[in-house]
Amino acid sequence: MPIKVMKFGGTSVATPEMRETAAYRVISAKEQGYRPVVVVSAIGRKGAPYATDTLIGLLREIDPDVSPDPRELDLIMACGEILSAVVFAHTLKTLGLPARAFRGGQAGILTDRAFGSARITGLDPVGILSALEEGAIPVVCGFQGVYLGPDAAPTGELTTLGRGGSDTTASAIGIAVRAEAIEIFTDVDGVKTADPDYVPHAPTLSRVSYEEVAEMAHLGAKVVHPRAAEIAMRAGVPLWIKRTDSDDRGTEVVSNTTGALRNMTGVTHTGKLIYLQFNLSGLTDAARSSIQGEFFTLLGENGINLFMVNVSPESAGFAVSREQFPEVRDLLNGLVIPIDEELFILQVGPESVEVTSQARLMARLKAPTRIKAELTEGCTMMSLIGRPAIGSPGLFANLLQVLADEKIPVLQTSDSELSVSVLIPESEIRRAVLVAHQRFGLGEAN
Amino acid sequence: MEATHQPSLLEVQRGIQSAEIRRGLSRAHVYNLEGDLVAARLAVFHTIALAGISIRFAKLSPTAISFLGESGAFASLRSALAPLNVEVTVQDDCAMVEVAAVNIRDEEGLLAQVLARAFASGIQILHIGDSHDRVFFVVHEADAERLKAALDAAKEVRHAD
Repeated sequence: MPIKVMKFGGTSVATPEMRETAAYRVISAKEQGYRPVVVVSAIGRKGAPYATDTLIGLLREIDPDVSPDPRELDLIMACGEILSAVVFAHTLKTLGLPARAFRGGQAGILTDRAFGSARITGLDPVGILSALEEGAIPVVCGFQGVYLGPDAAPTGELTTLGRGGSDTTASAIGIAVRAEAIEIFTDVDGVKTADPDYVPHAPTLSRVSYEEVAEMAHLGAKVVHPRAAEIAMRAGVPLWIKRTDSDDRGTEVVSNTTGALRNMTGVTHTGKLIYLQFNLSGLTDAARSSIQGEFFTLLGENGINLFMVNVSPESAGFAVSREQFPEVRDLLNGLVIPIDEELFILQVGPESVEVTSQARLMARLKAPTRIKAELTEGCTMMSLIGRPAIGSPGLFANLLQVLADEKIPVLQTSDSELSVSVLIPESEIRRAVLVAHQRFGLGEAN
Repeated sequence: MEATHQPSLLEVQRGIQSAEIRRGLSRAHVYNLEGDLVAARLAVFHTIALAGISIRFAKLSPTAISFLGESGAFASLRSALAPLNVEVTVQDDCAMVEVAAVNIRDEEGLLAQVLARAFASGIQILHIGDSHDRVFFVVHEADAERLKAALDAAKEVRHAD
């Protein structure tokens, strides 16, 4: 009998009624001749008593100024899925189906040691397969695994897989047990062409490629996690995104060779960013290169994440998250860079005490050249996804024209094989998504 | 019952996976955009589109636009843009050194570390682009092997677990 992995998200297991609906999905799969393997997220979303954020809050409220240890944070976060798996397994039992709950480690999910964002390094599904052999339905905790390295505790360290980890769990198990399909049940009809909060009538895509859905997810679509799509793609296991309480077909995610023909697949948005643009005009190639090398080194050493990097003979620019910006400013503002006989001093944003006092001190040696960075706060990234359209003549012209018609400024662009992204003011994102969806014909996508 | 247990089919592990060279590219830099910047940019992009020129990896700066194309794709670029009164430089014989690293924008400082390595090599970097799983550098073709070697060494760069 073929195996089917069925993953239920937080809202799908939020209430006894929703759990029963989900359980009937499992019963239905069994009646169709499948052996189901269930993966569950924590019960409910933010604010719910057993949701991941609530559990983290239990630690944070003790003293908001003391950060919990990542190891302890993983232990408490994992409780949400453990509780959910046990409750769901018992729900199945009450409906007459033998079921067995598994923690991630018990399900054989091995990870690296990165608490909070672990990656799966191996999966030995012997426990899941034994349960299936015995006629029980395995109910696996999503989002978690175990690290068994030499520096772990003798029985291993519990780890969590990061945001969207339960989808990743479902795909990894699907491959390990050679499932015929992986189904992700959620509270939307499938993969939409845009965020339905911004485009209420955004159509649901009936079929999409693994690469397209992973790209959409990387660039902000929340319906499925990109790691889940990437894992399923490697083994070619069909992935379905469906609504738990609906019999609609949902979205089938398959290899790109069998994907639907269309120019554009979707429009997404993500990020709360600040864009820094350094004016490097008038500098020699060598000086420009040295200055860029210096600040990228400093940012790298301090774990700063960058987006939409650009270098040109006139300037260098990049975006950073709003969260990391204060650290970036502390690192770069007033930084003195000596190159040969010259002194350069960085100024991030308007003139500040740090820069003026540094410049005054340096002037005793030699008057430094100021390198000013213009700041644009409150930015976000909007992306168009669609392999056929990327690289076609006129795409940039059309995209910039669509936004210019709406008087939405574009600060920077970046693109990949599957997408083109623009950095725009966050205050304009709703309008930008709506108009891009309309002007690029996404309302007719299927 | 037989089970799959192949880490290679599961997740790509963090850190740099590869540095590859892609040859046969041209890079154009259109500068001295004056007046209304939005209108000036649009005029450049529309003119390029009307000329049927396919461009990739466009980058904006306050007075310029840079982009890439296949080698020879910009043969008619200067004449196409001549009416716009902008300056154009085209560098043929360029190559792209592409570094693949899963979630490179989200792994603490990894993208900046790769950029730092590239600049530390002393090789003139003509153009940069990044996405969620790669960063690329466009250099003169003659410099590509040397940059690849410098970035291969950066494979040791790993997110601190």
